[in-house]
Amino acid sequence: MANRKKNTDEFVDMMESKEFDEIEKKLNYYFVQYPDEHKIDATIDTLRQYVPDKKKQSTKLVERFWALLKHSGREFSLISKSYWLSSIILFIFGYLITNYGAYNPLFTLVILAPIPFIFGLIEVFKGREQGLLEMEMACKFSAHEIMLSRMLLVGVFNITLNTMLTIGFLPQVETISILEILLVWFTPFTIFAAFALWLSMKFRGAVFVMTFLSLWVSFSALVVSYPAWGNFILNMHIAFHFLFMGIGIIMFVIQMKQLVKKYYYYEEVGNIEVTH
Amino acid sequence: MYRHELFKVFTRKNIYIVFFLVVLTMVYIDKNYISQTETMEEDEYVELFEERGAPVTTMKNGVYEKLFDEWGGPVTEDKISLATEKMQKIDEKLVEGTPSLTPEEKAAHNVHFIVANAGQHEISLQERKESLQSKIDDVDDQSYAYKEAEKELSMLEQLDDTHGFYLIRAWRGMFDLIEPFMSVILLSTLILLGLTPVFAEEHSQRTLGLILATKHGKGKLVTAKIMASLTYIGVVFSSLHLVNFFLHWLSYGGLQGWNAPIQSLPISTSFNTLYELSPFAWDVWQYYAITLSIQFLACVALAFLVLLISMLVKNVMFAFFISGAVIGAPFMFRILSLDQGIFKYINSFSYLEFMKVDNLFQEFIAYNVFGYPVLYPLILLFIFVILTALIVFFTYNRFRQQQVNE
Amino acid sequence: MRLLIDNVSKKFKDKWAIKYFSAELTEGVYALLGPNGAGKTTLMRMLADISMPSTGRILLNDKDISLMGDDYRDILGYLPQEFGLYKNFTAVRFLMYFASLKGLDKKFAIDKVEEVLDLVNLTKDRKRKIGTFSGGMKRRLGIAQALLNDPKILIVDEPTAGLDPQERIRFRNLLSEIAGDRIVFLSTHIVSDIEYIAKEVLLLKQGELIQRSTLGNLLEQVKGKVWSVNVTQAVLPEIQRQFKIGNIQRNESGIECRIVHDEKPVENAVAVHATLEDVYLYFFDKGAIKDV
Repeated sequence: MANRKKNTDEFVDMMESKEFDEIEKKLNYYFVQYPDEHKIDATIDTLRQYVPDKKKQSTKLVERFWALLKHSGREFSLISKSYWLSSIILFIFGYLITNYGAYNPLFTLVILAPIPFIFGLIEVFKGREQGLLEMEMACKFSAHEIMLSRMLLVGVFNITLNTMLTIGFLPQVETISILEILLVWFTPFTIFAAFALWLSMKFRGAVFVMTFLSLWVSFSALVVSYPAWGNFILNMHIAFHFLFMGIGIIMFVIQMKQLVKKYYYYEEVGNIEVTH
Repeated sequence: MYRHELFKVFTRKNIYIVFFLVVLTMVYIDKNYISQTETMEEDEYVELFEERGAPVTTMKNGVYEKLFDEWGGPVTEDKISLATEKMQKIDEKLVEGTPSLTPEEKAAHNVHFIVANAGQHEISLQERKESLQSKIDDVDDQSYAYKEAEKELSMLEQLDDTHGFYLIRAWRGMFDLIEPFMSVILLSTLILLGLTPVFAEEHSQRTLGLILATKHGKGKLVTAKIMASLTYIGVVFSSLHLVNFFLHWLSYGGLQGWNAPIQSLPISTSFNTLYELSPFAWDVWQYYAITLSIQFLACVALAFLVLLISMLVKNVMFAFFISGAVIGAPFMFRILSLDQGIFKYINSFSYLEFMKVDNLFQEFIAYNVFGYPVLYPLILLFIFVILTALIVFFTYNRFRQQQVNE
Repeated sequence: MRLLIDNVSKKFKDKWAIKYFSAELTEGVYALLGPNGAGKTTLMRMLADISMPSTGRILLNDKDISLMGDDYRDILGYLPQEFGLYKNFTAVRFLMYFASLKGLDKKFAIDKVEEVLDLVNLTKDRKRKIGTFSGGMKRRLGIAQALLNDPKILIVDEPTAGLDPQERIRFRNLLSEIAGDRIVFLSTHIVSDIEYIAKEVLLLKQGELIQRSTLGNLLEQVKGKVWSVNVTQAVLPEIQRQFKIGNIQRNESGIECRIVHDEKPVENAVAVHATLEDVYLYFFDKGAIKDV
């Protein structure tokens, strides 16, 4: 802009105003047609291919995953200690009660499996609840990255706990192979985790936890009071396990994508806002 | 004010999600666990039995009406011996390996079984009466044991021929949502979800300061909130029970049996709540009314507790957990076999038992109150009326004293 | 009407938020001025009957307000500094709700709600959900709520925070209009808010009333103690360390500093006309200046 102005200045300097007028007269003689819309569009379309693409985040999946892992390391210390502790206590308590009351350990597994993840979601959305979202989004590691890495931590922690509980119960369920036990809790786990994620994006933390736990308690009570329901889960054919697990995982991935999309731009977060 | 409080309660989306899923579960269970066994083939029946335990017979088939004409009403000696005879015949037939039973035969077999069973119940009732009589004769007539036995006996004497075959169709499942324990869970879940935010949310939304500084913000507001909460409970309670009512009505095809005595209530349901020694001389419809009223009162009592906790705790989620713990504690105690001494009383006089209702009337239970036997349900009601009155008073009182300081 | 604050204190654990505060208020606008953490909000809450004094009492026409209870709050309008609103309520519903809380007759309330909505310029947003409101609109709705019952005593804590200049002027005019026959008690740390309307200014510092006076009187007290001086960049830090500095403005000949000091701070300083802002600086610590 500045450059062009300079040019015109020089141009003006070079010519006398009389000459100017003459040229203007001459130019008025000609009629320059304005190109029609169609032509303009066509030109733009032709040029478009030379415009460089917007730089994508980081194309390689592996790279992104590594970044996520690294980030999780940082987030680890930011998740409240009481969360880790209470989850562990809950599982120990579950183990003891099952042993004490001689309940079916598989039911205990099914019932306990998703709970740490549920409470973990509170930690995941902690920034949102406390009104930090807008600030988090503006930071180098944006809100959705923080959420994803926390979710990764919570998920890994949850699965570790479940696996340990499974190993703890092994002596009592010798008849079933370890793979089957893993499947028994993992299948409902995936479905419920996906459902929980969906709910947690719709509702604020407290409301979400209450809603989910209500449903969860009802479900658990049904499993316990209707042996048939429990047996249905326990005796499901392995193919169905994989089918349901597949559905669960797909649902989960869809929810994750939505989460990333939702927390990428602030405008879409409007419905969860902090009171003033 | 009331209208706006109602608006606050009813605009929480999560209660609709939960309510919807609860109804869905009820429909699912209804469709899957109530089956028309009378039209099934023998092997289907056996399969069903193995899969789910004793299936529920709907007695929807018209053949039962004919059978009712023949066998219905209180049992008599003749009916019992005839039924036993017929059962033996069919058993022999089955042993011989004759082709499987026709639906009519199977239905008849069912009814014979019920009649024979009723006979057994009649006998155990007589035995109970005799043992009470002998107790009365044995113990000192000033002692508590004497009074207790006398009371039970006099109640049992009030029953006239209560055992027999009655065509109780839809009624057997109407008392509970799915089953007694589940009704507690479903109802209390919805109560907790709807009511824990009532006071706590004024805190978390930081509207408490505004409210408390208004003329009615410390007194009438509490009344409005309580009224709105009770309306919510009324709506939840009645709609769930209406759904339940119609589900059963439709699956069993009729409301017959409303005037049968409760002692003949559910036999061969998958939940064996048996009333054969219940000392209450009520018809089924009376019992239905009583059960629902008591359950509703229990919901109301629970609501007041939840509201108080919601006000004291000031955090929706903590209020939810604490209320949940209060309801669930007796269940946990029993799992941990803590049902002796003081725990026995805690477990019996809990919100859980109050809402569950079914344990109150299945048999004669009385407690020693200053040397007099008082029926368990009466004491329970009395205790909860007093407790709730205290809670209400405390709620008003504490709310008035509330300060905004942080 | 006479509101008497008699030896009122509020103690949280071992910290005094308000310490033996006494004042007598009659009709008119009173401004409570003080830095953050001086105890303004605590005092306001006690006046609004939502917090109990640890000592002392507050009397309205010789009756203790905690004993008057509902009758006191009936004539009270209160706008806290921080407050929430029901996000899924519309503005009208919210005000109707508060009208019922304030015991207004329903028919009367409908008209009154329209009236206050108009006062705070929210009429065209009356049917919108509060969740979609901007910060300033929320505060205006809060003001509307406080005015619903034509309060004889209006207590407003930082009412203009988050309002744009236009709305602030509007609100200021509104206050001076209605102040004729009522007590308006207003806290702020935006001094220009009260410059023209306050009958008296109360200066609160660490829970204690340090000054209570008319605006003119206060200005009189700092008269001759406000100085303007042109300095260079190099000496500015030194000046800032030594004196209470108001505005700093760059101009062609260097940096012009406004200094509040009892004596002439530097050689070439000239005395200038004092404003309320200088009063504030004069009475409160250096640390508080940032909040002005």
